[in-house]
Amino acid sequence: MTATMVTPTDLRSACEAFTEYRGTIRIQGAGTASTWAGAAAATDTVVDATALTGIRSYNPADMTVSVGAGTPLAQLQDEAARHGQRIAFDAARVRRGATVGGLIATADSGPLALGFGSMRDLVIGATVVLADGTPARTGGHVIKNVAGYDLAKLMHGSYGAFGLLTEVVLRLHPTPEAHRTVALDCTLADAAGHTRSLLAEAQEPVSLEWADGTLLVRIEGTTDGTEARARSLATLTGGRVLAEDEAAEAWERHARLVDSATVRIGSRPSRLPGVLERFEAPAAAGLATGVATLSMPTDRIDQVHDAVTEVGGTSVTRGAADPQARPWGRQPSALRVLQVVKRELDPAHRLDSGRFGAWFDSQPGVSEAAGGMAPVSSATTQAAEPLAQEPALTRTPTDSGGTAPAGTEQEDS
Amino acid sequence: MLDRAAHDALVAAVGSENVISDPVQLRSYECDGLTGFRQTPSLVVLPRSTEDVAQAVRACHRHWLPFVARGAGTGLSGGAMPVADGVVISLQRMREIVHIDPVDRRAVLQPGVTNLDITKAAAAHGLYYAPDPSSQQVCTIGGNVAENSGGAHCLKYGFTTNHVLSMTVVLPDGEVVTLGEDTDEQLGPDLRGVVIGSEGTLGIVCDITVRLLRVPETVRTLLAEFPSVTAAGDVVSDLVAAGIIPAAVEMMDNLAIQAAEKAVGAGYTLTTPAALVVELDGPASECEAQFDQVRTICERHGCTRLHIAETAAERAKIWKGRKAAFAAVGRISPDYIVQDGVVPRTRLAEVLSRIEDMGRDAGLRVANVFHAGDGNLHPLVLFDDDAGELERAEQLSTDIAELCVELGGSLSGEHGIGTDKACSMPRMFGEADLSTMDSVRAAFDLRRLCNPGKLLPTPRLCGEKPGRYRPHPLEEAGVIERL
Repeated sequence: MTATMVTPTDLRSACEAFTEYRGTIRIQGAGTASTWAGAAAATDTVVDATALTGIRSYNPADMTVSVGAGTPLAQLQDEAARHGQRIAFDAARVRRGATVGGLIATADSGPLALGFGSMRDLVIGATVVLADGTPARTGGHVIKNVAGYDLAKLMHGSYGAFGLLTEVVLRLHPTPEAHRTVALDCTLADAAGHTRSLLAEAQEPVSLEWADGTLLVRIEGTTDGTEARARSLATLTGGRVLAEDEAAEAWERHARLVDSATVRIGSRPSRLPGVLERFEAPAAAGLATGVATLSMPTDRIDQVHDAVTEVGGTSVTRGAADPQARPWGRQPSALRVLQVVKRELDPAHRLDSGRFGAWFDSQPGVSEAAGGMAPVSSATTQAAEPLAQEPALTRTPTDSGGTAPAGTEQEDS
Repeated sequence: MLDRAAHDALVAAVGSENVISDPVQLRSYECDGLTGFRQTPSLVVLPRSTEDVAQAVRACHRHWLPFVARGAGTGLSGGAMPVADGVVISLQRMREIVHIDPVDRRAVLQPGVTNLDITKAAAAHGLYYAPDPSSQQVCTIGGNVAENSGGAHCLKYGFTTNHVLSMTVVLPDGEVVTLGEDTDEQLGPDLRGVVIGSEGTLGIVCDITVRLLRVPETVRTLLAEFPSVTAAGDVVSDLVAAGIIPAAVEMMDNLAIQAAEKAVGAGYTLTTPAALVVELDGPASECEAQFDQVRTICERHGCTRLHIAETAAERAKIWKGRKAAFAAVGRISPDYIVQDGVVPRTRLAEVLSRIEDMGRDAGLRVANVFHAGDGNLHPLVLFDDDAGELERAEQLSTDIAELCVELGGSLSGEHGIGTDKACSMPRMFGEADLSTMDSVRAAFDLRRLCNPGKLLPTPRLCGEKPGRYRPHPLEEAGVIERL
């Protein structure tokens, strides 16, 4: 099947992409995560978001920026840097041109997540085009805002299942005057020990990562302050304060390691070293956040999924994995809710990323199709009855595992 | 009145000792902190466990009974106001701190635990829970999740949504699910973030796992007075331009200062046109350097008095003045309405001058207290009900909230939409936006039983008119304040 490629340039043409083209649709950004969480689905239409670019409004004094969702984050960072500001976000693939919308849709994050969270914590508003071409806004242009449901959160990690992000409003942070990185070569176990003592100190690291034999701790602030804090952390751990170019090189190595990963896992931080130690794989591990990426051979990804699931963690495949590998370790507890939200927002099941395996193929309320879903108490199963009154889906489920991505798609470039 | 079968089902769900049906006792649940809206519920149930909550919700679902979850009832938008012929599910008997984990820095809490008790329990480990709404002594973590509560320190530390890792949620049909995970990594879309701030309309949140932070090494607080609100506003702009993110920046205008001084005598100069409270926290070496910068910036803008708290007691006194401002307004006016709106920070001067004009046109005074760092205003519309000013005051208050939207801001920064502002939502969101939110609501609650009539506008609701504002008893007692 050859998909029709549509490239909207503004909100109006984005809406038209959904109303004028029939059949199933897959949303695509810069293609930097096109093999994450499994193979992209073969659909009738591919909506390319990369022309939805540009800064729509940016008033540095408000520390907020509104931007086309197809804008590469790196480009936005350049503009913000001119005003002494930044999006406090540094996922590895930003270097490869990842778009703002794509970073949200894949719930990506980098080492700075320890200090600033992920995109979900930085997005304050969004415009989404739903499957029927309806444009819907959520949030706004101010950092503090509790009016209405926060549907940008629903888009975070949605891999395009609910709609196309066209515009995103982000909060900015001031670029710190200085930053320092303390490095220490050590085993994972030692790094875990150091992490505990580092966090007990008041130096507030913004990143703390163990990457293949080296613990990297980043702190930010004033020139004098960071210098003093870095020295204190170096003394505490027996590490050393890196020179600026050394630090840049160390974080670049970290990013390359993340880019070459086959699986990303999350667990309670104290459980992470135990999981990682079971696998002799190159890894980058956020020992304070509990998030790590591993480069495991595809045939052992299932073992990672199982080990992580055992400790109650999350796991999902990344770009270097074979797209046929099982994408997710387990399903979310509230899968049924996701299925019903999907049905409400995309009743014809047009939007198909292929990324969730069979999550959305099953019908809400039909428990045998929903694997690990928490059962409703048997005494009151009738409670779920309205949700089970499900209209037949118009979509024919396809076996994404057996379908090669359409030839028109851009893979990582 | 509930029919017999429904009543019996609820009693069976939680046990008769956990049910209130006495009409006099039911009255104490008729409103939350927005006391102008009142509705006596048919029944109040007080579950003691998640399973009790699930059983109660299933009973409501089976009998098509609307229900409203309630924490401490300190909300300021009528979000916990009961629904006619409905049930209130009070979480006040679920107040156990289930677990504090100092290694992974998290706490597992039942929904009725108060915000401040989390920090008290974590203090032994040098940790604390960051979001600190002003009612933190009494408001509950369950209510905080429902409202996505912030607090004076949220410019730097974020809101409830940035600090909740996961939660057990009883869905409106009684199914129990877990939203969120052990880290910020989610399995697919972030439903946790959709439910946080949904004002109790998507389910009832039970066990909640929150992140704890290390107590900052240093906290520095100063009070600075200025010859004009504009000068104080310029200080905030310069702080931002200097790359400083204070833990808190609070501004008060002269009317608010007068009220606060009359109430608590925190040491503000009575005649000063504007005052700022600036607080920095973090590693000592960072804090000291930036604190010097803050002082210089204040002086550059004609600061008439600068008082630096040297002790914890002095810091507490500065905050007491700021926190007393709301209830204290009762000392300079017989009645008042508290508004909550947000503008882009750079439009603070403009919105204040517009509010002044609008107040003049309406013949009413407006005192202003606000979180200047994030543009969150709390205008207090002063009026005298006995002089027949209520209607004008309500109109002015609504106009101010809607003005915030017009200036590119929001209807609410922290109090929520609830019953109070549902009818203003179309000012901020278009039909498609609201219908999309409604679709999400339908996905969670097809029968529309879970806190109906709140958050999204309905014709029935928007035809109703609220009664006058009356201070919450805890507010009069100085335990909580309107913010």
